[in-house]
Amino acid sequence: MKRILVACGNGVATSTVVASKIRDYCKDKGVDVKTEQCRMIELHDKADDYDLVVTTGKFNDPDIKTPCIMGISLLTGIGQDKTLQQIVDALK
Amino acid sequence: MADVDFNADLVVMLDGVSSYQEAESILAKRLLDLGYVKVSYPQAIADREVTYPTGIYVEGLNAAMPHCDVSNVNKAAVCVGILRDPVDWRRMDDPDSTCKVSLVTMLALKEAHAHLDMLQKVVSLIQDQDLMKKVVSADSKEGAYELLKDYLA
Repeated sequence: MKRILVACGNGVATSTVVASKIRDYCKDKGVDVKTEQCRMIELHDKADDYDLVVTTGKFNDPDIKTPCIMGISLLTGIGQDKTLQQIVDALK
Repeated sequence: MADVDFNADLVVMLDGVSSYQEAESILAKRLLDLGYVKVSYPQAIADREVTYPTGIYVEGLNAAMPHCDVSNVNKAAVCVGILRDPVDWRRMDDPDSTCKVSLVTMLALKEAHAHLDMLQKVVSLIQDQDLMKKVVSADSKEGAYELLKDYLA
């Protein structure tokens, strides 16, 4: 099972929607995933424990080795399928 | 959407508003006056917007989704503000850029990682440009509420 950390500003709202969409898509694709949520400010300490990080806000931390994907498209709908595919590919 | 309140009192026409700060302040005060949030909420919303802006650029009628920590909230609700004259809002995905926001969905969330049903509805609303156009061009808050109630209430 792959573990995905989904982060937004407060870790309470937009990450909830994004995490749900990721879980649904991965289920369809037969990819076993578990999502957890946090605040973006917590990523620095938490990210390395996960296989993938998805954020709804701009994020750049050179210390983090885990791949990070921008998930704003899962809120806007624009380019959503491409981002979801990118997420599945990053877990392979 | 039983666990999150939405009613006609939670629709605000933000006519004459010229900044996102002003828009947020009016909506936060409405939630406060109706008892949904604590006195700490308006400032928490303002602070959060500075650190992590909430403008969502959808290449059309753009939206913003201000919210803050659940500790500032008494009862879950969504307050909708309509900006017939859009205001500049810093973008969630790129805080150095702004977008013109026409619809504000201010969230008062009581539990973290919950309210998925309502959050999905708000996100679907933002993505539904036909509905966004109708709501933003409604001639009154009652009209806007009629359009939104089947969707959010």
